[in-house]
Amino acid sequence: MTMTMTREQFMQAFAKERADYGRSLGGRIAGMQLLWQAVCAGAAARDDLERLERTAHSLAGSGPLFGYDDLGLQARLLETDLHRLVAEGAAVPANRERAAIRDRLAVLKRCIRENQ
Amino acid sequence: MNDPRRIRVLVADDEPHVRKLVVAIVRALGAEVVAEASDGEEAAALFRKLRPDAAILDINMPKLHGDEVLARIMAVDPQAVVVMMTAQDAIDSVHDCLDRGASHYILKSNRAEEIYALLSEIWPDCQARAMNKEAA
Repeated sequence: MTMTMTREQFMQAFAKERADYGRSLGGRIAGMQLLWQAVCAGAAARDDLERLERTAHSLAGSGPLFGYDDLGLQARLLETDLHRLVAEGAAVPANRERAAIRDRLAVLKRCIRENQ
Repeated sequence: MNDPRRIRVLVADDEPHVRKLVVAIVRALGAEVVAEASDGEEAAALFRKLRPDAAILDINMPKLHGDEVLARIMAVDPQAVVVMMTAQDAIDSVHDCLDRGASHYILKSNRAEEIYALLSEIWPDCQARAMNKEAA
């Protein structure tokens, strides 16, 4: 890991990384939706809710860096909601929370479409 | 033997795309990335093993929070140059880290080009600290 880069090479690397990041988003959010369905069905592992929260945190932190500002903002809201659920410790979320998280995940998908 | 003008850096962030981006920036600044870590425990272990001149650490990492990694680094090498990375919502944590030995911080809410500019701005200081440590 000793290579160096010029600023131009960095900008090329950034463009590639941004494209890779954009391509990864659909799969990541689809994975979150599946995980959320499992949580709602009571079929999730104990730490799945924390995994969802961490993924939301990761998207919230990385989105703006790669030019996905809305995605970052919406992911932060989702992270806040999931954090509350983790803190409450309920095994299966109530109907209102199911709908709220499902809607937030749908908004994340829309953010990706609108940014591409 | 390492080129004395190139500082050796550890980069730690659990988000692989962010980590790769920071690695690219650090290389563009002429430093050597000696290791990458995807969680806090790995970061602390790699620092202990490789003793880089500088570390760039995300605050919110799995397994071990960035502030705890900072504490472990400071215990191993109180002169280490540590740059914390954080989202805007964790700004209080990063101020605590500055009080406990971190040299600088960068906000991840900035765009990549701004992160590049920020790191370029603080890099001469990081290099000087690393070189001073070596000379001491």
